[in-house]
Parts: sequence; C-alpha cells; structure tokens
Amino acid sequence: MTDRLVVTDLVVEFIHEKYAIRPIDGLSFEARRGEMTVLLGPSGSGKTTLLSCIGGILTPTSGSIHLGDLDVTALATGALEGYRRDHVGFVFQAFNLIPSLTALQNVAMPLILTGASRSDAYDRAAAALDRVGMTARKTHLPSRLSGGQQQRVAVARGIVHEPPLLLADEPTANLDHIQAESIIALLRDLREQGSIIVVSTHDARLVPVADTTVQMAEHADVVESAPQRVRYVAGESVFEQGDRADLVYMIEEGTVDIVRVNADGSEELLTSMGPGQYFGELGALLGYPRSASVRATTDLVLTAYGPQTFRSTILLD
Amino acid sequence: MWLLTALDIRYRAVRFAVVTFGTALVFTLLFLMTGLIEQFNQEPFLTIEQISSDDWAVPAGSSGPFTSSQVLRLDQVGALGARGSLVVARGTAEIDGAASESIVVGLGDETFSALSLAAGRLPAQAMEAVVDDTTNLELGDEFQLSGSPFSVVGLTTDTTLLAGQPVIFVGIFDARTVMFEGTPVTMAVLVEPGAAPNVQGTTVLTAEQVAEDLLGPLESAVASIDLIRILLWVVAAIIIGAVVYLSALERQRDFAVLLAVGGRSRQLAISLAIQAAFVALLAVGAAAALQAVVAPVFPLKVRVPASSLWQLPVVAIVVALLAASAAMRRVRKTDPATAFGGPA
Repeated sequence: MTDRLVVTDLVVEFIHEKYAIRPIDGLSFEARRGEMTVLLGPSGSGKTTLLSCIGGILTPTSGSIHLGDLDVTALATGALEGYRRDHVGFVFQAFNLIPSLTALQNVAMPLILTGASRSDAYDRAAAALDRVGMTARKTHLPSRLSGGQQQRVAVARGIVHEPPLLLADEPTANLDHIQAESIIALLRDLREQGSIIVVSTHDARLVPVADTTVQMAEHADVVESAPQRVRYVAGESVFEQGDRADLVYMIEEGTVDIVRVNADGSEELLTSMGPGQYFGELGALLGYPRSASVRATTDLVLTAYGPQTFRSTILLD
Repeated sequence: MWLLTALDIRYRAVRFAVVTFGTALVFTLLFLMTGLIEQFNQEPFLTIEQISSDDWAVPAGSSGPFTSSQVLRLDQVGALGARGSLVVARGTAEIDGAASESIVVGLGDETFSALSLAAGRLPAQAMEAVVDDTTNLELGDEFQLSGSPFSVVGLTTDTTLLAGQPVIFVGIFDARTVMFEGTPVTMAVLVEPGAAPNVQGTTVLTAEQVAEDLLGPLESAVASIDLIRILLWVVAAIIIGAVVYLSALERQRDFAVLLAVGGRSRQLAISLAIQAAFVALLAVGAAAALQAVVAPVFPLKVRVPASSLWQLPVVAIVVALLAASAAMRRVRKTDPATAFGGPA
C-alpha cells in the first residue's frame, strides 16, 4: 500500500569546500494519500534537496523515507530508477518540457523511454492531457504554449504513469497569478483523485490550500530581552557551528577565537577578537545557523543582545 | 529513443544541415585525396603493363629505366638479343604553343606492336607519335618535341607516370635523334620473362619491379597526402564532435528531466551516438555525390577505389562515435537533480 509518505529524522549533509553544511537536519513529517503537503521555506532552506530525496534522485546522509511499505532510502541505484519510473511524478519549476517534442510527445516520452509501445504511450498521454485540460494543444511545441499551459503539460507528464506520489518543485514560481491559480486548482483536483502531493514553495500564499505544511527553515521566534552580561572561562565554547543563532555578542573583557569546523573535524582559525568587538550578528539577524564556532581564549565577559536590540542600539546608534 | 533522436534532429535541422554540409566537404576532400593516392599507386603499373609485361634488362646498379640515366653498352644490347630496346627521356612537348612536361618513350617496332591503343594506329613512319590522352592532343594534331615536329597517329589511355605526366611513345630512332642527338643509347631491353640472360654488367627487373621503382619519387608526395587525409579525419571528427557536444550541453536539462522521469543514461547517450552517426552517414552520402561531380574537373586523374565507398562510411561512423564520446560521457554523468531549480 502506498497510502502514506513518511519522512523520519532525515539528514542531508554536503561537504562544501572543506566544511559540512546541513540543508536538512533531522526533518520528519508524514503525508497521506489525498493530501497536499506544502514544503515552505526560503531559497536554500533545503526544499529542493528534500524533493530530490523523496524522488529517489538524492540519497540522504541518514534518516529514512518510506512510501507505503517501500523503504526508498534502502533502494540501490537500479531500483531507484524503477521507483522513479513507477511511483513518482515530477513537476519542475521551469516546466522543463523538451523543446523538440509536442505537448503529446512530451507527456508520452517517459512512457516510451521506459518501454511502453508508442501507441499505448500516446493514448495514455492524450488521456493525461485531457485531465489537465490541454487536449486542444496537444500538437503544439512548448514554444507555442504559455507558461501556464507548459506547466499543465508538465503536470500531465508527471501523472501520465499514474504515480501514487506527485512532487512539484515551485510549480507556480514562474507563473503570473492567474496561471498560478489554475495550477493550484489542478493540483487540488489531483489530490482529490487520491494522489499524495508534495509541493515545495517559498510562497506562503499556498499554505491555506495545504493539508500539511512543513516549515523548512526554523522561525527564529526570538524573544527580545534586555542585554545581558555573560561570562565564560578560558577554553569554553560560546556557541558551535550549526547552532541556532539568536543572540549577538559584544566583547567586554577577554579574547575569543572564531573557528570554522571542517568536515573532517579539524578546525581553521578565521579570526581572533578582543574588547569592543562583536560577533554572531549576521546569523542572528538573518536567521541562519551559526557559520562558525566561538571559543574563549581567556576568561571572557560578553554582553548578549537580541538581534533587534543589537540592531537598534549598536548598529543604528 | 529513435523518436527522441529524430525529433531533435528535426528541431535543430538548420544546424544539422550546416554541419552535415561542412562535414560533407571534408569527406569530399577525403574521397579526392584517396582517389589521388590510388591513382599515384596504380599509374606506373597500368603504364608499364601497357608497354610490356616482359622482364626488363637494365645496366647493373640501375634502379630502373625511368628513374636512372644509366644506359646499356652496345655489346650488352647485342648480347641481350635486342628483342625490344627501349629509350626513356624526360622531355618538353610544345602543344599549341604551351610547354608540357612529358615522358618520352622510344620503342622498337616489336615493342610498339604490344601497345594497346585507345584510338588511331601505331606509327608507320618517322616523326609519328602515340600520345596519352591527357595531353589533350587529338589524332592528326601536330606538336613539337625538343624542337622537332611530330604528328599524333594514336592515343593511349592510362599511360601517365610520376603523378600524371603523360607518356609520348615514338619510334626508338626518332627518340634517339630528338632526345640524344642521334646517339644510339638504350636504357633497357625487354627480355622474355624468366629467361634471366647472363650478360655481364646487366641486371633483370620484372615489369612489376620497374613499376614499383616508379613509386619511389612519389613517396613523399603520397606521405604528405596521407598526412592531409589524417588531418581531414581530425577536422571531420572535430566538426561532428563539437556539434554533438554542443547539443549535449544545450540539452543537459532535458537529459536530467528524462533521467528523473525514469529514462536511462545509456539510452540518452545512445541517442546522441545515433545523431553523430547519422550526421556522418549523411555527410558521406553527400560527399560521394560531390566527389563524382568534382573528380572529372580535377587537374589530376582521381581514381576513387570502389572499396572506399564502403570503407569511408564505416570509418566515418567510428570517427563520429569517437568524436561523440565526450558528449556521451557528459550525458552519462548528468545528475537528474539538475532538473530542479529555476529556468536554465
């Protein structure tokens, strides 16, 4: 049975240059048949990475993805091809229709490539185009279709093999609001026909039509408090690379080393700071995780500010 | 896969047409170069065969009657039987006021009678000549040979030597008179094959050895043309490889999408290989037609061997596949994840 998509403790870690970054760190969620799940987050929050993992294109570092009884993360390369072929439909942000093929041929091509006879593929493609209301344009090349029409054809290509899971990556990002509305309506129709639909978007306006919303970036629900004096002894860590960033620190006494922790565990000194200097402001202001670790090299006295307090009292002062 | 390949070629028809035309021009040159080499290799054998298939007795140490200026002594000629004495000289024929480098062969009556004519008759009197048809002389035409007038009574075909120089056949006495001021020189005497007369100071060459000797002066020319042929293959490979690679680069996103929806990288790589082979085959076909038009107006006789009409397509496909291999490798390394993201 493929009535549920279950993502559990998913971690994806990339080595970029020498250090590791984790666009997805311990993510879990569940999507059910007949539901639309929206992955909401800004660029770089790991939405596309997550879709790639669910779609069997990218192997996560750890965690599991189950589609019904099928453990996607346990599949080998060849089996992943079969998984994509049989269980997953993709809709891409840029439509990605093959420019040399008509709408009908674009929709039929995945079936033809996977061994279906041409006549069967065309019959099924015509039916899929009918479902998305594109029958009248089936002989048109993509260059003769509007963005919304291209996305409809792309949706038809995603559902032509009737997969239980449809993954849509920013399906409305390149469309005007009228075309976007028609695509959302189409995805809702498909949901009602019993597919599991996972949509990634940075547009919070999709949230009301979602059955489930997965926040891909932590909202820094920072409670701005009054500046607070904190002390550390030499050798102690103020924060570690990858930690959630919620405070900005001003050095009152003592010195710190700011170090980048590489993927192999080694550390690289970025800079040292002393009294009158501050650190940690960008992560706290932007809501990014800490990009480096900070160690006290002497006994240390810091003043910790909430990001907005820091902005108003120090930066704009 | 075939559908994808064919429709992509149709979609990029102008580009494929330009590339096919460019490659066809390169292949046409390859046909012509191949035809030239074939002509260079065959012309001495065809010419010598027409003169005589007998063995040739020449002075000891002579590389051959056409490439050496050594002459037989009179006593040697007598001892050899003088079955067919032969004089060879490089001469300048003046035809319609224009000087033309040619090879003058003086033959005795007995040898002359073996010469196969394309038209006309054998010389019956002095100052008559049989000439190769590449001289553009007609029967009855007059021309000057070292200042002496000759009239054309017969025509031969395929009697050129040393890269297309026409052979002019005259009587041996005329040849001695005109070319050697009457000195009774003899470069070779034809002897019965296998007879191996034991005459001191002479050596016997077979007709084949005489013909092979004539290939020597053309060795560097043939090697140069061979080098040009290799360069032309490289040019063809670069043209095909570049267009297929460019196509692969342009279609990177398409390939990623097709991989994401269940296509196999091998299928897509084969699709590119088919395109490369298609361009190569189409270009060979066009080149075969083009060379048939160009070869007759080529200054030198071009003898395209029939075998090259099937060898060239086979080699062209192999070269095209090699040229496309970089593009195929690129396709095989395509990450389906690149299908995600915004417009390319």
